[in-house]
Amino acid sequence: MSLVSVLYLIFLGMVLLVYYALPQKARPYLLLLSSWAFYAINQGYYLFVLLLSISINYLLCRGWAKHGNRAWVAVSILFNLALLSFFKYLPAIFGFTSLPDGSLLQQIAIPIGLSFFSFQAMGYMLDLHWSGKRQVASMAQYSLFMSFFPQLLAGPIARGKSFIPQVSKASCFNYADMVSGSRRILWGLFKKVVIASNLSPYTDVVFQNYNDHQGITIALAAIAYFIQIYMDFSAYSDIAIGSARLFGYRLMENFRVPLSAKSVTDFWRRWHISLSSWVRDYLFLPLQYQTRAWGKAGLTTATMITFLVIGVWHGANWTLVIFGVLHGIASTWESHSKELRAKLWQSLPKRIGNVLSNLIVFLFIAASAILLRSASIGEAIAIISRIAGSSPLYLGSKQLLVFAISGMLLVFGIDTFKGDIPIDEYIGKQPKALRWALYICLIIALPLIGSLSSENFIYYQY
Amino acid sequence: MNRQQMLSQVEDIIRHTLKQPDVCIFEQTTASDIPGWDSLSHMTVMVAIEAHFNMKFSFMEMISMSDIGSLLDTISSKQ
Repeated sequence: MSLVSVLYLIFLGMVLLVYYALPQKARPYLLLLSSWAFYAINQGYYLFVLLLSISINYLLCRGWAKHGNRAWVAVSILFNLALLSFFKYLPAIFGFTSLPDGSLLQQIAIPIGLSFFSFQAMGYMLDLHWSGKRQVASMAQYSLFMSFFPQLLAGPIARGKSFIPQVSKASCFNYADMVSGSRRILWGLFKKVVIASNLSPYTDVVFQNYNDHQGITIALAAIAYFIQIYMDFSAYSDIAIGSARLFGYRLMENFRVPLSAKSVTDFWRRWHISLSSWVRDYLFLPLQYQTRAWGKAGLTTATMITFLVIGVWHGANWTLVIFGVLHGIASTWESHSKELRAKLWQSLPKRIGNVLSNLIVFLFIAASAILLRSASIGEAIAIISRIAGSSPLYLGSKQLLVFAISGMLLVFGIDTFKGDIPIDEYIGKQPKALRWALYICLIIALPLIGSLSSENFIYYQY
Repeated sequence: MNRQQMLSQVEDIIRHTLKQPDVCIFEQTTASDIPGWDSLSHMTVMVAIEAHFNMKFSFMEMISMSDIGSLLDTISSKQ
């Protein structure tokens, strides 16, 4: 059940109706059961993995709260890493994925959302340990924190300290939340159906037949793929945040106009914020603390390891390792060349400097997105090397491209004006006539110029 | 050393480390109020403060400091 399916909207509507019909105390339990049902519908018997993760992680948290011994924290981290390794990394390392179809080992797939809920569990345990407070949430609260269906499949990665207090807080029906959540879902649907899904056939054709294309076509497909990932994942986040809001829950913002980034470091503060802030708090800062006596070498080590983990988090493929290393090198260079870069940009008129730095970051990210798309390093090199060649420009279906571009003009146009404010809040501040004009445009655009080449989201695979 | 003197010395360290000669800090100032004080430069500032006051912060102390006031509290508790 994809978040862009009619089935999901029906499921959401039904849960919502029962949720507000129930007494307040019963509502978290309904959300919990609905979340497990949602996961079972999507993942079948892998619900067992989710329940196992919740049970063991919760027992370890209780163990830590009772004994206050660091060993509980270490076992919790090891357990989650082992779970991730078993499903995500070992099959790739031992080549199970290339075994004949139907063989038992080949059938070991990654439970969707595993990377997300495992990171939540580790974050919760580390927060407990670092806060020194021996208080653990109730089993029901913790289970809902780990399973909440809007964010279960692809985040945003929640933090216990912001999510769990919302479970215990009485959630009354709030009209403003309903309006805000609905706006957010509509906006996400528009980005997925009108932009990401209309770009998908073009990028699929070019990258699957990259030997037939060269030069500008490959460059354009790389840019289109970067925008497709952005629209696809931010659409998922919008629908997740909007759905949670309907139940009175607020999830972490996952994107803050990443295309406006003027450095790679700035990009990672704006892109997949729930992951980048997770690795900052639970990996980068502890590493930086341990290596602080090494000066610049310590910062370099912490940065490189952090980006390596970000790369590997996306999957077990050398292309993703290279992706992480490239971003690590760029970020390290930026942190060591602050003064040099400041002088360089100051020597240019401010507006030109801004546009130029923005463009450099955009092209770097678009080029590195080829690594996310490629099945192997050899394929990535072959695709990148073909950018130097020349062949007639291939645009695929011009109609789909025009639909996607018109959607992008609206989204990027609004992004430019709204700045860092969440979209639902920004729309809410507009005059009533403008708001309704936008709603009508979006609703008409969905069936008229939207397509649904795939109900799945790219980030499900991570 | 009284709290005002400590605040003044921390201000000098921040100005020098982050190369922000005009920055002014108060007890309520947070890292996000100071240009250039981000997760990458945070440890540089902390190391400079440790060296100046001849002390060591624990990791827990470092992540639990919410503003300059709590930074001064931690320094005071170690002197």
